[in-house]
Amino acid sequence: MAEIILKINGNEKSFNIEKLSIQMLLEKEFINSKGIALALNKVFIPKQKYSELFLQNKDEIEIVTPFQGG
Amino acid sequence: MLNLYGEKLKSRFLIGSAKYPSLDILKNAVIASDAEVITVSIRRLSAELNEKNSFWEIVKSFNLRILPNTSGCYLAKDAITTAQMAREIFETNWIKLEVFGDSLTLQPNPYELLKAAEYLAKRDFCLFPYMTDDLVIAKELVNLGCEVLMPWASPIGSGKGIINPFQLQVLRERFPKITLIVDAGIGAPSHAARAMELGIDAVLLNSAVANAHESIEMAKAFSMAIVAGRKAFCSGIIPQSEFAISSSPMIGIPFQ
Repeated sequence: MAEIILKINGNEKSFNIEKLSIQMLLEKEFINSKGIALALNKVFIPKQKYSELFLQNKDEIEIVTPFQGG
Repeated sequence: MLNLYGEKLKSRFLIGSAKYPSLDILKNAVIASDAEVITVSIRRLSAELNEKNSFWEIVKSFNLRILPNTSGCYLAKDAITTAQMAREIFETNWIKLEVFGDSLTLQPNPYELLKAAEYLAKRDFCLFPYMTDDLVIAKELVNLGCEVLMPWASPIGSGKGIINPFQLQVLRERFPKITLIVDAGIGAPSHAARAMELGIDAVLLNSAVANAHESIEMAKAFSMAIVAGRKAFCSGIIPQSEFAISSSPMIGIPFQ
């Protein structure tokens, strides 16, 4: 089984899995896709692509949510 | 009425959602402000926020127009990605485009701002660019399709008020059809009133209310000041004179 090491919001995490889509990652991390948006290697990924995009080793993912702002 | 990309609003006060002592004070300050637009940001999802995002739940309950920002970005490409993520989360094409160029003053980087604005304007974003009061940058942004400009009064959170009123007047005179919103640096209600007296269309502020000892009362004070300043501008402020001009009639003065 392959090991995929990802950087998620700045923190490294490894997954022992052959293939890991963004949708699978969110499910594994118990993240509801409703209140978030996501960038993969600094590129915005729209929600409709979560199931079809598979992650590669050393990918960097930013997951964001609404926050206070001026 | 304030015109923001075709949306007509009664209030000329746009309020920020950061730095309040509590969510309850945020809620009551927003109500007191009469604002119809609230600014928000996006930040990394934490375990706590994944559990429950109380801030977002309460902001949604206000039923105000949401104006997300790209605060914290120093590069056009980061601001572009942030804007795209914000559009998906908040389901709005409005974006307060902030691209900083200096960490001490948070002065916007005009080169990166224009790069990001050009890209986003072509993709149907309604841009609210945070900028200095520079006329040439303003012209470039308008040429890119910006219907709203957000010149600073002074650095964000400084509370210094309007450092260069002359330049704001120049922007007003050169762009009579563009909606001008003073953003950043407002500290006191008198600063907001002054901006409105200069013909600025609206004021966006956050720290001056959120950091006040009594945020709710300060929100009311700003709301009144913005209304007063607008009424003054529309009523025609008298020109300044170098010398005194008597108010009372100069004829029939006794003992003369």
